[in-house]
Amino acid sequence: MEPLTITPFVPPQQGLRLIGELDMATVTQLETAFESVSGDGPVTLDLAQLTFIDSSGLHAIMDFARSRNGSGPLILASPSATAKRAMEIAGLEGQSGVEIS
Amino acid sequence: MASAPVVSLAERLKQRRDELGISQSQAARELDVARTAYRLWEMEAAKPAPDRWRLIASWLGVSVTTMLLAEDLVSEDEAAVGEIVAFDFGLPGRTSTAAAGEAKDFFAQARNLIAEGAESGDITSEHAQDLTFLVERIEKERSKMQTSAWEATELRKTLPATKHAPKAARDALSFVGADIPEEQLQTALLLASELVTNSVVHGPSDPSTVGLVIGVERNVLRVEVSDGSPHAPTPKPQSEGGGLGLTFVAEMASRWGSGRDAGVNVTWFELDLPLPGATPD
Repeated sequence: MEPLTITPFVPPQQGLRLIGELDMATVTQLETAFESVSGDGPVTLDLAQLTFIDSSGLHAIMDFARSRNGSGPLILASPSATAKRAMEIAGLEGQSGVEIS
Repeated sequence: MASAPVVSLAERLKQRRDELGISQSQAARELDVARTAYRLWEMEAAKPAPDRWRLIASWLGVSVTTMLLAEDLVSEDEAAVGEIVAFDFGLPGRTSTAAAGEAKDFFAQARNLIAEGAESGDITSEHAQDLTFLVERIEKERSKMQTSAWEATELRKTLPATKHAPKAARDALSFVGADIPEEQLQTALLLASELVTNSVVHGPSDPSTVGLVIGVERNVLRVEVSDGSPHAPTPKPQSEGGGLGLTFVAEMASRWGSGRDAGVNVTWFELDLPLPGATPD
C-alpha cells in the first residue's frame, strides 16, 4: 500500500480524501493535490482514514488555508484524537477560514 | 548498637557513579540494564528486580544485606544480627555452588544457600528456619512493591537521514510499543516523527544518519534521537522562536530535553504510561 493516497471528491463538491500517513516524505503529494483545488466555496479534507499527520503535514494545510484568503472555509473532517490535539496546539483551530469537524 | 543512617539505593548509586566519574549510560552498561531503567533507579521511580541485586551490591561494594537495607526491605535490627550477612551473595570467599548454580532467581538462590549451610553444619537448623522466614518475607514484600509494569525493552537503530527516516522511526516504535495504550502510542509516534524530522532537516549531511533509541521501562516510554551535528542542539518550541515540531514535544511529552554526548546531539522525550491493567481516569 502507498504511504499516502489522495482522492479528489466528485464535483461539484470540492475536497480531498487523504488515506494513509502524511509526513515529510508524502507532503509534496498533498501540496500538488492542493494546486488542483481552486475557486470559491467550501473545501473539505476528509481525514477519517489519515492514520498519521505531523508538523510537516500541518504546515502544508495551514499554508493552504492561508492561500485561500477568504474564498471559502477549509473544513478538516474527522481528524484522529491525536491529530485534533496537534491542530489545537498548532493554532489551526483558531485560524480564520478553518473549521474542524 | 549505634548505627549509621540508612542511605537510600538511589543515593548510593549516585555516590558510586561520582566516585567512578561515569555517566548514567556508562553505569547502565556496567550493570547490564537499559539506560532508562538506570535513570529511574536514581530518580527512585523504579526499583531493580531481585535478579539484579547481587550485581548491584557488588558494583556498589556493599553486601546484599546492606542493599536490602537501603531498599527498606530488611530492618536495621535484622541487618545488624549479621545472620544474613553470613549468607550474603557475591562477597569474596562466598562463591557458593548454590549461589553460582543454576537457580537464576534470587530467592531460589537464597533458599539453596540456607539449605546448604544447614546441611554442612555452618548454621543451626533454627537459624536456617529464621533465615528462611526472612527470605520469604522479603520475597512477599518485594512482589507487593512491583505490582505491574510494561515489559522492559530497548531498541537501537541507525537510520539514513532521508525523508523516509520519520516513517522508519515510527515503524520501529509501533513494533516496540505494540502493547502500550493507543493514546500514548499515537502521541509517541507524533513526537518521535518530529524529532527525527528535525534531525533530517537540521543534521549534518555527512555522516547523514539519525540514531534512534526507544526504551520502555516499567511505566515510562523514552525515545532518543541523535545526529552528529557539529553544533550543539538548540531545540526550541514556537513560543521561543522554534518550530512546531518541538512545540508538540514540549506540550505533549511528560519530560523532554536535549544535550550533547560524545560529539553527538541527542534530543529525547519521555511519556509516562498508565500501568498495565490500570483503569483510565
